[in-house]
Amino acid sequence: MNIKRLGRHECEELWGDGTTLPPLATDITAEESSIREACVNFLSSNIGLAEYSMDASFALELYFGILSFKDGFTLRMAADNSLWRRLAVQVMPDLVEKRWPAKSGIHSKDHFWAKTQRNWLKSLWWYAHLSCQGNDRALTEACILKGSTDSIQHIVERPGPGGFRVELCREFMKRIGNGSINVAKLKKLLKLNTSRVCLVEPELYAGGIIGYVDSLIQSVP
Amino acid sequence: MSKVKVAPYRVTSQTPNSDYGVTVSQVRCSSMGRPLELKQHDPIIPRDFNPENDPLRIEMDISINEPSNLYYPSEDAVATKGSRLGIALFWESRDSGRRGIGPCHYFDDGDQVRNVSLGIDFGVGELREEFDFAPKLFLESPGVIESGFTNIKGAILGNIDKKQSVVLDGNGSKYPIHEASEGPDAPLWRVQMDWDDPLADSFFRHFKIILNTDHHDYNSLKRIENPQQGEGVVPVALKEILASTLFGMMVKLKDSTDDWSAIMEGKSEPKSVGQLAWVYKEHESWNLASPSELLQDIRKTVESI
Repeated sequence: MNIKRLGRHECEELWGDGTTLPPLATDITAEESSIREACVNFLSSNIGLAEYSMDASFALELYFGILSFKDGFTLRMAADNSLWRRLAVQVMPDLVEKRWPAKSGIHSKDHFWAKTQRNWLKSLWWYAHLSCQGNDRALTEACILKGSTDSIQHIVERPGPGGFRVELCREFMKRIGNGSINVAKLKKLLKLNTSRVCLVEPELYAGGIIGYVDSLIQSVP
Repeated sequence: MSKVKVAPYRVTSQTPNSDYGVTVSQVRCSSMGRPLELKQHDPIIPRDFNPENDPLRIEMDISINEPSNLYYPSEDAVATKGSRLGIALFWESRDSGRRGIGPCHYFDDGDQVRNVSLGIDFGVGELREEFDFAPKLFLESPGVIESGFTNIKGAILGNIDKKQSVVLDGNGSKYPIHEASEGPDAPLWRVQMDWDDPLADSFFRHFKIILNTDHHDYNSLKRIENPQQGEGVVPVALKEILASTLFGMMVKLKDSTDDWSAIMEGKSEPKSVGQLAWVYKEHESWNLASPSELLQDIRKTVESI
């Protein structure tokens, strides 16, 4: 999958004062063009979506469709911030703007390139990856639809110093999906988890990750 | 854990048709680690490891000569009688966004010798930049309850060996000095400081000194070959560049982030920009009271390179 990369410095130069979005790149590759077209088509055919409903649907489409493993997208690519900067700033800035329009005439650079975990496209792809249930789109969707903008923030924006425990995140999202916890409780559980993983490895806990999450839930009123 | 012996770890890449070594050019150890042991099973097709196309395996052999020493009432006890212990390689990679554990091996106090080979396999295109790993001991199942010992299944009891780092993308340089052809009219050097979060972002990737190989004074920055000094002697001009850029980094950290107090309390993550600033301040006693004193201390540090 031929997606170019864009450095932070180039972003800064392209971004300027944030009053206008950078123009689409003139050197877009065929695959970047296909990705853009697929995103445009999806968002155009789901025009009624806004805020979290847009996040949820688009996250699923990105992960299971447009940037899926079966089409050659890899975890290595998904972790490459310069790839997401390229997509958000030079390939589809106008689409990111639909979700994050300018406020008082200024676009938020955080959701385009400045904050690596807030790049809209990156955060959605990882949200779906960390919510994925057995690589089944319908099961994953059932979890994501019960989430909120806050659950994206709680799950995606705190990878921790060594990266995500992917299966643990998926178990949290499974509990969101089956209604055993809500997003407010998720925040408390993640906070407790941060301190508990210093002592215990969730995967090795009694009952594995399921047992570990059960124990967290029992500890949080 | 004096009765535990750890053999050098191995990094290999195995394809369905061949088993070849990972070349040194893109893999280096952390400063605390031992040199990589590389396999060269396929000398006919020597080539660089490519994280885009090649799978990766890390393996390490561990011998536990007297497991009973790990049990109470031994001096080195980490567990009580009847406990079952486990060992596994734990890996983490902030750059790859993920962490995990390799297959586990178990033993108890009745075992005489346990020789285990720990390993982790990574598929093609799974990792980027850098990852760390370390063999750890954990409690698989608790035994007799004793005061001072954990009885939580899955509790981490300690590292069996130092954490090791493998760099998949990068130049393996000791200092963040890079070279680029930027044209004869561009400056001799420039510095790039592009971290988002100084408490977490890697120093080596977000602080770069870039030397312009096209500049007419570039040769004055080349290391002077000296067989007695490994990498060669660092020229004075390069030391001056290092000093001024490190000074710039400290000023930027102090002036433009809300994280300065956390950095100075040593709360940054390993290998981050913030941790490097803290290490220099603590171990080189950089005086941050005024710019002139700070610059003087930085130059003292750089002089010793």
